Amino acid sequence: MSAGTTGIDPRDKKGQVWTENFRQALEVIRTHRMRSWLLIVGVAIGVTTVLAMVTVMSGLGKRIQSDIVSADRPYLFISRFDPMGGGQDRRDLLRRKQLTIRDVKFLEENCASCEKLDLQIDPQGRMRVLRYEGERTNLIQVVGATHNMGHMYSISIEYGRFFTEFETDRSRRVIVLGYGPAKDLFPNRDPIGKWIKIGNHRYEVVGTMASRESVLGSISENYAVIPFTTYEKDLGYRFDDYQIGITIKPEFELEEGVDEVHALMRASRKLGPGEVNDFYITTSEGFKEMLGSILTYIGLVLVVISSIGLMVGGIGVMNIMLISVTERTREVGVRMALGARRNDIMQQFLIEAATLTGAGGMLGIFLGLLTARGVAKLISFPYSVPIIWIIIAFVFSASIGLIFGLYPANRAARMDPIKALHYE
Amino acid sequence: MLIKVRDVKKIYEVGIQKIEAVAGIDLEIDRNEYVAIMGPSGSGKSTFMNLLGCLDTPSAGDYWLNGKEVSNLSDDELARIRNREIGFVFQTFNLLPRATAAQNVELPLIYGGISADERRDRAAEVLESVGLTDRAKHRPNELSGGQRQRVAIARAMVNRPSIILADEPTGNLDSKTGIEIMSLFDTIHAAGNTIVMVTHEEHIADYAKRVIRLLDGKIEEDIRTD
Ligand SMILES: Nc1ncnc2c1ncn2[C@@H]1O[C@H](COP(=O)(O)OP(=O)(O)OP(=O)(O)O)[C@@H](O)[C@H]1O
Ligand SMILES: [Mg+2]
Repeated sequence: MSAGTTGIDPRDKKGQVWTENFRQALEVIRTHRMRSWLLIVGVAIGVTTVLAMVTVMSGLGKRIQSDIVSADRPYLFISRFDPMGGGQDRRDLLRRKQLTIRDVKFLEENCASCEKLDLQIDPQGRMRVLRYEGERTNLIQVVGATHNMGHMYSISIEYGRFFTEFETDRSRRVIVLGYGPAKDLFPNRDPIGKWIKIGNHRYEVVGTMASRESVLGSISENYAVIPFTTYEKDLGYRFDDYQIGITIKPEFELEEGVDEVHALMRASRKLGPGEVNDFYITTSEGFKEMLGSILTYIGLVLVVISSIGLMVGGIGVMNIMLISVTERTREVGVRMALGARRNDIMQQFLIEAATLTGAGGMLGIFLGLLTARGVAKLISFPYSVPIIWIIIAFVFSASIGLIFGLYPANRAARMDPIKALHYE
Repeated sequence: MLIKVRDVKKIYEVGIQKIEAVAGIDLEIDRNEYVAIMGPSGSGKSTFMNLLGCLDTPSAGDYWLNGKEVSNLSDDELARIRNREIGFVFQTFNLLPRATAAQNVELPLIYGGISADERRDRAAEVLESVGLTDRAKHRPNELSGGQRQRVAIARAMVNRPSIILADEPTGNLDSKTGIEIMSLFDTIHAAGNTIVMVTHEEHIADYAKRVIRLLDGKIEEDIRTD
């Protein structure tokens, strides 16, 4: 046996060539700094966009959810019909009996799982201006509610208090201002005990709400609440919509609450067997889910759009690899003459391409998270690093190198060693 | 018999024209022979060397290397044979420009699956045997032509191949450096290696112990000179 045919473990070979190919890739990136960096930055920009988008979207999503469904405890929400449901005749739905305080009282007396109940009158977009001495608010919503509303939506009071049951029963002209109108009317003064005007009626300010620091901004702060009895007396309008909010006692499951409320509501509304419900129950959980799925869709669309940037990076890597393969034709010939198999050559260029885009990916991940954190600070929402997306971003950008590097690498691997060796 | 070639042909088809670059060669080369292949330009020397080096397969005929039939192997098998059995020395050196002398020498070992430690030792060993220990960390553009060719020879030797093939190894060197390289080949031959070399120059061919002259892809003359 000749000295050249020493036994070699083929598994060993793989490792050696792989290491060499990776070392080679780093070497090439080092020697072609300019061109490599341009590509890396190109891919990085793509990844940054996608990742910043995803991070902001998921953070924003959580925040929007918690802002819209702002309650510490899950709650039920009864309206006359499904606010999101289409398909039914709107006029027919609007003819349904309003929900009333009698329904609330009936539930209060009979519902074992209900903790607190609130009747709310939604002015359906009708806006009003609040005035105090020379100051006035923008157009804001004034809603009617029971004393339980504050508790139900975990409204935090900055000054004063929420109005009481007593005040509701007596239809007192008391008002709780949202953060927006409170700032507008009482920039530097204590608002408590002051009398503001809505139209010709005067209301005593008993409390103001704390800022919610919401992404929805002023929308969720620009409103005021008065007792629903007072509302009916002063501001009532025939198109107002009545809704009932209920929190469920902690010892009950949300579903149990839904079932009980459903049965009691049918009784309260005196629906016979076989008659369809003339009310609709939503839960905060269902609402959250629905919001979540809408946000996921929006996010997905944004990701798809921003991935187009990554495709451009892919074409860039293909171009650079084609140049690289042509430039190194002779090297390919030499390697083949020295014993590189076609797959070894293929692997070499694929690793090079994947290293380039993978490096771009890592830079992009870094910049993307930085961007996301900046945006998060700016509009104050919880900045969460989605680990899975970091992994996806890296794998995806490396795969772009592999996919777009395939054609150039294959071209190198299929070279005729003799021609390659004599390439000028 | 290290090399046994039977009626080997290499036919290139260019358009409708058929070129018989190698037109039927019978040849046997023993272990530790030192052969020079000569002949006018276009006589098929390089084409024949490529066949011997398993860079190409013959259009017809048989080729046994080390007792193994290699004329019909797959690309991967040929790569394996080149890696283990053959050491190439080229006229233009063909070193990788970005790699150091030592890294160039290690290349065949990498494709042979040798571990990094052993590679380093063996590269250092052959670099020493060609007198370039102090140039191991230099890149080709920091070396003279003669030094580059010595690195290339070290690279050809590092896998302890059965045969060293050199196509005009002194073609790009001045005559003094060429003679230095030839004396290095002498040493390598003396150590028991087999060398087949293509050359145009009679005084270079004089170093060999056997001279084969090609004409139009055929052996015209085969003379032993030792
Ligand atoms: N790939 C190819 N396609 C077509 N013809 C080729 C090819 N390679 C070589 N030939 C032809 O084969 C013949 C032999 O070429 P080869 O390179 O072997 O000659 P050589 O003896 O090495 O010449 P030189 O001394 O100039 O290097 C020439 O006529 C050449 O044109
Ligand atoms: Mg030639």
